Amino acid sequence: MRRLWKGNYALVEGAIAGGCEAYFGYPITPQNEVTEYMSVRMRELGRVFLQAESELAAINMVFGAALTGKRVMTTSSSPGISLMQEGISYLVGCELPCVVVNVQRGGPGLGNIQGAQGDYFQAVKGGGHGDYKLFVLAPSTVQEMYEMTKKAFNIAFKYRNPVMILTDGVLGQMMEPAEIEESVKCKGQSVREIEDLGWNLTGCKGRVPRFIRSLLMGEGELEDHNYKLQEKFLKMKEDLDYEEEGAEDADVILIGYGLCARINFEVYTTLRKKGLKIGYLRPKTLYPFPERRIRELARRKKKFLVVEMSCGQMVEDVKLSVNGESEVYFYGRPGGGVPEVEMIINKIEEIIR
Amino acid sequence: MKRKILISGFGGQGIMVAGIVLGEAAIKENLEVTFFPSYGAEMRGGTANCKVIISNEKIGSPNFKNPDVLISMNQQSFDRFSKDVKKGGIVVFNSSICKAGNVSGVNVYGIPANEIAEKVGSLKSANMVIIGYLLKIDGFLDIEKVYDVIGIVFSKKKEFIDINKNALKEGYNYGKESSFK
Repeated sequence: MRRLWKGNYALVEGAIAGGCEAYFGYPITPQNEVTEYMSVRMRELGRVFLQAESELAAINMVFGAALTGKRVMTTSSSPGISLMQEGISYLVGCELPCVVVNVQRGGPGLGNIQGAQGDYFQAVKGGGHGDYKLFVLAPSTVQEMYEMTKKAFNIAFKYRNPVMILTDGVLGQMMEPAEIEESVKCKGQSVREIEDLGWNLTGCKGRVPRFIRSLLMGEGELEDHNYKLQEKFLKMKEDLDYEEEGAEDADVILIGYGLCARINFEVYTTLRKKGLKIGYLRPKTLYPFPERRIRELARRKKKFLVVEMSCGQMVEDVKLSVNGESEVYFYGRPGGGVPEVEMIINKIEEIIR
Repeated sequence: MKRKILISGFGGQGIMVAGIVLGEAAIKENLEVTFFPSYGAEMRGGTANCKVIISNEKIGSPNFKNPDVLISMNQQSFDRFSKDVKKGGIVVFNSSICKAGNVSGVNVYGIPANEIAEKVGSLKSANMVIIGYLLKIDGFLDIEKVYDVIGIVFSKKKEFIDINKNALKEGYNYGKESSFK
């Protein structure tokens, strides 16, 4: 049944449906409802909820729990996610699966508490130290806050890599109709039971001890490890996801993710009704990025308008994909500003003229 | 059909609940809807507001600056937001504790929501009185659907279901009696 759901609550139900067994978090607006609702739901289900003393503690608790092969998660908003970067780098280095959610707010610094998209670079280009990638999902509706969080755990385990959900304060705070099944406690479920996945630390009684570490000092050891990781990051393209409409016959294609994609869709439908050949493309995964599809469209001389709630970050990936084959334009608002339909339409009229 | 509705008032006046009731009723009519609350430090000082968009098409951003409809539950809300209402739009205000200021180009309607709410049993139902009145002025939702969803929204506070339904009805009927364009 379709009911009104808040984005942050939908995200929690998604995590629970995805099998999240332990949640570690620290409060920060605009994602406080996640920690609040988790504290109720995880207890109801007999799973682990722990409010850490800081974001640093939270991500290191995730690190510890992930070592045991459990499905673990943390959530925060921009400044808190910055604090977690060291831990995230370690998690990637150790090839540990987990889900990290960034309900973005305006930055830099403490910024404000409005929704924003200023952390794109941090999410898709690494963020912490070292050569690494996260698998990054970008929900655009409350329904997707649920679906993508649910799916994130499977992807994290498939690649043994942290998955980031990159969303924003508007999607976290808003409500809209969604169809969500609230998980109930199943008999016999216990977080204390540890399944041997072949790599996790389960207590080495009766078998050879395992080591999970990111300090690799042997000659060539770290280089080899990095090649192995890179291979994995390339393989993630198997799970590339995007959607498009009207791109085939379009002159100008709108590209945006998350909240901006919703606004773009409104622009797209408005202008199509007026007979303008506008297309719509939305990456649902930000890493991997739909670079091949964008290049294909660029070769056919379609122009692109990238819309973001930032001064222009994803636009760089669009430009790399286009690789000089066509023109790329940008419209964005930083610091919690939300692009308006009329402004995007003006920008398109400029491009067409 | 598209309505951008801003509901604003004191914390405790049921601002959020009023938005949720409209939203759930819109779902019953198979319409698209978004709800966006004020949050965080914005709530300090005891004011609250929420933005509801109801449309028969997919909705982009749930946030907006210029509403088609303003529901003003207190004076501060009227003073702060009535100038943002679109030309030809509607302002419905709680005349028990709010006076209409000077605004041009919009249709302004007052209703003594507090008195009516107290009469039906609880001051807390003033939000439903004003929703009922709004739907008489501008029937973008079927009032019957709103009655239906009150039972769902207040399912954990059963004692308030009848009071809220009556409050809604009184607001709607007040609209019948008063004369407006």
